[in-house]
Amino acid sequence: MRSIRLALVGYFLLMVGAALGAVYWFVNQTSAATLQAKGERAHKLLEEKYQYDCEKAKDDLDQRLLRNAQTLASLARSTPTHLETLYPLGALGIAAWVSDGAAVAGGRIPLSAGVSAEVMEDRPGDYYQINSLRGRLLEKSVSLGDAMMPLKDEVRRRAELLRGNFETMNLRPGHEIRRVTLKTSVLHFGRYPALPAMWRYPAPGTFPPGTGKSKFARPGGRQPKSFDAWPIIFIQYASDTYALDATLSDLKTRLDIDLDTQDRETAEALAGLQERLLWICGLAFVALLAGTYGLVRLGLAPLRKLSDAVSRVSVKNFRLQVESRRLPGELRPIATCLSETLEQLQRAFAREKQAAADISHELRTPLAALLTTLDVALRKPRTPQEYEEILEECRDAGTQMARLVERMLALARLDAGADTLRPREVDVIKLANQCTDLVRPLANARGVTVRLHAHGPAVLKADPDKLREVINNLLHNAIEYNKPNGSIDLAVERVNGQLAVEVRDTGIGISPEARTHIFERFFRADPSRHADSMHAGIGLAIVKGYVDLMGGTIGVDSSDAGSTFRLKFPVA
Amino acid sequence: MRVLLIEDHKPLVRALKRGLEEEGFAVDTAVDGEEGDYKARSANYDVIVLDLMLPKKDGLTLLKAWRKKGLETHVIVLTARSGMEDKVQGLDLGADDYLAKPFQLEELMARIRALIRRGHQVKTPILRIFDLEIDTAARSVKRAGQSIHLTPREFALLQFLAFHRGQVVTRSMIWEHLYDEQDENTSNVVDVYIRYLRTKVDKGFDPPLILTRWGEGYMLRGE
Repeated sequence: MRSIRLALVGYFLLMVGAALGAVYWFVNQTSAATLQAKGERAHKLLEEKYQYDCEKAKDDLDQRLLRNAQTLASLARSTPTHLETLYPLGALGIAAWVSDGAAVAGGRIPLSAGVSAEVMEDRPGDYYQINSLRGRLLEKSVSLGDAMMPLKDEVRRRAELLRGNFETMNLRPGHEIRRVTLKTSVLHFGRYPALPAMWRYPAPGTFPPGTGKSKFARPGGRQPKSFDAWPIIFIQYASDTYALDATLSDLKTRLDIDLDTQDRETAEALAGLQERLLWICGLAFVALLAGTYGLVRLGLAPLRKLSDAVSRVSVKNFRLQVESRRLPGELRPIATCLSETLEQLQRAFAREKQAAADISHELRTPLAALLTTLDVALRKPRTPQEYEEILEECRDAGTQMARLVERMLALARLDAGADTLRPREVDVIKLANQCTDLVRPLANARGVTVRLHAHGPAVLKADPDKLREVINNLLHNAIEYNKPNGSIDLAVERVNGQLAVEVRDTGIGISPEARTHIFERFFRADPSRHADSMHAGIGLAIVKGYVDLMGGTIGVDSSDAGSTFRLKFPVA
Repeated sequence: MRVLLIEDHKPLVRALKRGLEEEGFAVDTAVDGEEGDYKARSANYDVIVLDLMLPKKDGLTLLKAWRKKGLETHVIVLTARSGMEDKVQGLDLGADDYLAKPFQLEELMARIRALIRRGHQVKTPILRIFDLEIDTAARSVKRAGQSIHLTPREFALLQFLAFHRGQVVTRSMIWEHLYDEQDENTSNVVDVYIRYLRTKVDKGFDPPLILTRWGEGYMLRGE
């Protein structure tokens, strides 16, 4: 990973992007659906309004037709008919007219042109036609020309008085008209007031058409049984449907426009909403980007602090210059761990430095002795006796240096992993015997007793040279750090399938804190003590290295009464 | 000239003691810090040769303690460490000279001699008393242009007298500076050496330079 910050910001933005995308999608979906529904409702409303308008337009037309027809009807009533021919016939004639007045009389209802024009309001597309009950044409408007509006039989038969009967028909082929047929009675014969009162119709309005009974009675004569018996005419009033069609077409056009507008508005609203949403999401994204960057930076600040502190660590100053308690909890273990590691490193470094100094001391001192001895020897002629002594001194110094160099090399070989084992069957008791024999003169010189405790056969597959080196080292240490008149017990025995070798001394002991470092190289329990190369802190490091190499373990117990080093090797 | 050698490496101690003694120095030795401290405080040495890495008490601690208590003896520090820090620290703490191991015996001796001269406020290595000429560096003596051969101990005695010329030096002073702790102090050893020295230095020359102050000691004639 290249950078935590980039990764965090990246992942967070991916998340935020996904979330914003989802929100955008959801809001868009929802509002689109809402707008769609709203649009549909508006459509419906517009369509309903359209329907209503259409109906109203038709209705208006019908109303006008009816109104005009009624006006005509009332005009017709008040216009004298050409019934005068019947009149002299008296009762018979009336009777005949009553049975089929129009048919017999062949009369007309001559509406004056002015009146009819007034009724028609100068509309060129309006027509009227008046027929008798039998269907005979009594009158018609000039605008009809030679065309006729045929009176349907079923209308003639079934029509109620003054009730308009509407229909749409073709006047001529391709010439559509709307007409209303009104059935009415002719009541007023204005030009013939001489008609005896008993023959007269009641005045218009004295009784409603089709209801009640006739108020007047004809004494001694027959009288019509019902209103229907009175002369009946059919008034038809019609108008071209062009105007209506135009109105309807207008309405339709307006509806289409309205619907279109509505659709456009819906689409625009949706687009606007989407745009706003996009802006909001975009701005939120940018704001979150900045916020995330800042937050991540804030979050990583302690890491930077730690890294700065780490970068300030140098060979001269191993301390991690950061206050652990000012770091967040997540970093504290790292800082603590790092501090501890650095401390260990510093100790190791100091030890290494000390060791380098120690080694140089250990090498230079015998070298100085060697050279000084030679210098002294060469200052003047000596006796053979003296030369012999000097040579022995020189050899001792050389041997000591050789031993130190050997140990350093052993350690270096262990480090490099270049040390190979040459294992074979070793009688450990025999080897222990050789070792004790070897150190006994030195021990005796220090007044230290060395004892060997061996139980049973103790044969081990191991590298005898390394094992001997290990035991010798431990024995030498035991002598070196022993008290006067102390003792050393070397025990060899098999315990639980392991071969245990124990070196117990009655020496000064090792302090608990020293015990944890005793196998580290160049560690010296007593820094001022360095009688010979044994104390450069190499011996036990080599012992540990060899024991590890041979697959064994080494442990140490110590008290004021002395120390015990315990080796354990697995017996194959 | 009496030297205290504090060094824990025995072969080196043996070689140095032998070499210095053959040059006429009286050499006492100590193999650890505590013994060295005791000896340095209990006798009056001309020079102390001090190793820094010592068992029990290290050299720098000793030096510091001595200087604090006013012990003025000249100290040459010997160390196996070659680091600048040690050197500076040693000199800062009051060491008069510094020598890193391994060293040349000649160099050590020359430095010891220089320190001894410095201890007696002598600037040049050649001392002249009348017609007697003592070259402390070359360790040669001439009287009236004639070379005189002296043993190291005779030379040391003459040099000691020369350092104190015009002053009476007692037998015990002579003893203290010319013999080490192992020499048996027999009262006439000094007298015997004075007689040897007179035979070689004064006999046949005039005036006699080595004077006897009865009941006090000896004196080399002053100006």
